[in-house]
Amino acid sequence: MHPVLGLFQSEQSEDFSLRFRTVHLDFSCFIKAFLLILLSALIVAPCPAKKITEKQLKFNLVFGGQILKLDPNGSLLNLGDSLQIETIRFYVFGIELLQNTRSVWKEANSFHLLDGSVASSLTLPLQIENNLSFNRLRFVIGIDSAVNSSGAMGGDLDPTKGMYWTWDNGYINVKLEGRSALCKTKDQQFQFHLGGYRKEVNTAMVLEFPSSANSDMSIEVDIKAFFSKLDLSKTNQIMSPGKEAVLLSQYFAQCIRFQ
Amino acid sequence: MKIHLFLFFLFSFGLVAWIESKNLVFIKPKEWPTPVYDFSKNPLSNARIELGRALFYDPILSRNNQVSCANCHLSFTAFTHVDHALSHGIEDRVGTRNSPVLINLAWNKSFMWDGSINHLDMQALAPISHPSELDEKIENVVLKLRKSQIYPKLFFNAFADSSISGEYTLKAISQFLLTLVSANSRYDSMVRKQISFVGQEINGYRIFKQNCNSCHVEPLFTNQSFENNGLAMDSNLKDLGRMKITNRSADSLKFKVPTLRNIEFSQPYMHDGRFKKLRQVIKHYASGIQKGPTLSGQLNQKIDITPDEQADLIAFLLTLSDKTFLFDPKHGYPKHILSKN
Repeated sequence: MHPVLGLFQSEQSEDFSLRFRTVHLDFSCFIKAFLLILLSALIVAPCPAKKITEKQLKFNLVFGGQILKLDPNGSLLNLGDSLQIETIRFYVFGIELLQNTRSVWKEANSFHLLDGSVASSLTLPLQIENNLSFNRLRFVIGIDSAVNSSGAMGGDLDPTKGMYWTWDNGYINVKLEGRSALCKTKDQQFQFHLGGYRKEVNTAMVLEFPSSANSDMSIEVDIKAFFSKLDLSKTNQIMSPGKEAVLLSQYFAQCIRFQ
Repeated sequence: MKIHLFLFFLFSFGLVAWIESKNLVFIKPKEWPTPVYDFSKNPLSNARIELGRALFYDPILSRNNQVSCANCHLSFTAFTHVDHALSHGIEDRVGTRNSPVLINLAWNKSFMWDGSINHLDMQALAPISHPSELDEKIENVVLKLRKSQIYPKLFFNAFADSSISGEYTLKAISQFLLTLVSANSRYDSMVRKQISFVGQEINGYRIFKQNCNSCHVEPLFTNQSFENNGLAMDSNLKDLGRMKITNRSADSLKFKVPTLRNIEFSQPYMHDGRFKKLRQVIKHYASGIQKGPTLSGQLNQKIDITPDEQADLIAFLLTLSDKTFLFDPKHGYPKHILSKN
């Protein structure tokens, strides 16, 4: 009999009691699994391992062509016309390589939090097989709805990363914060926390670019395009899912170009 | 080279077998639906459940280290805040809704009165961060846990990883909440044919099946939908319920259908706790329904039951009390862990 961890187990009554039981591996199962693993090891071992090359996918944050280096301590960076930027953080998710429309490579656990104040976060090393031919690169800005509904996750998706909404829950895909004289708010701040995963207000943006194994994979994110589409005197605090968040996420996606 | 590979497989298999053997399997009560919670992503173990229990009862989760989850979710009262229409949290700040019971959460598709939370793991973040509840940041909780005397060891035992993360903290809390299964009420004994209902209970069950169980579906006693049950909107709270999440006017004044299990102990009732007594609740359905554009279709027709029948219905509702659940020592304060703090 299985060890019982239920609390009110009784043989006489049929009360609901067997609430949990420990997983029990019997010996024959152990032997079978062992032989299976051994067999697969012998089959796999003689095959020449596929050679893997590391290819870097670089994100360059710029403002009108000028490279942005944000201060990790949060001091503001002047961009002219009284516009100052403090935070640029966003998720890159589901990196994939395609040959025409056919997917030839997908990154495992492809979740990356990119932070304008952490230079190392902007270069993503991809482990790709040698001689893989592909002509397109695809990734998502933001976290898709399936992952948003999958419970607690770690690494860059850990809710302690400051990119998670707790009340109407879900990931913040893009965070842009700073100041502008145009904002009639406390300390002239603007705050854009863009997210939302439900169907009508989904803000995850799929992007696709021509690419190849021979060329560098460099992505430019020019946030000037984002601010040029906005009237900061009217739109300066978007921090919940909705139509505005969808529109602003599109503006952000339009800042992204393959170099 | 091959011998290394062999030893590696032997070792890793041994490790997997060892870890596996410490995991628990969640067995659902017979005839109940399959749980919604995906246990494969958070396999149950005694160490994780106990860690979650400690976190649930530990005020370390609040900004001033004085309020815990259990302040509003007491085990003896079906894990809700009895006597308070609107639950209060840190520094006695009052929230806007009545705290829900924590029962059979493994079957919940969404959480909160308005369904704003999509997964049990993420649920705890809401009260932890709410300014009227625990008013703390999860980042800070994790820092405090890392510095504590007891938690690094408990996390290591639970997850075989010395780092304490937000993910592990939330998964452990989920594990404790998943153990809060109530399935041993008098009603359950009747279903299992161990006992028979008597007197008023028989008639009450008949009335229930005629009038209530299209929303309060057995055996969980909720269909988990969002409905406007004809309560007039409180003019101060102006709570629009589900509409705040979906932005659809069709969802105005809709709230999640709550379970009725242990209803005897979970007063007050409704999302804003406006009714203290069960008979007020029944009276509302019998004669207090406010018509409106989003009123539940199930309530268009008047529920015409006499005062005697209302009393019988209450007699049936009392059969949903599960004392083995309410007084289960494994649900209580984990003195053996937290007294060492």
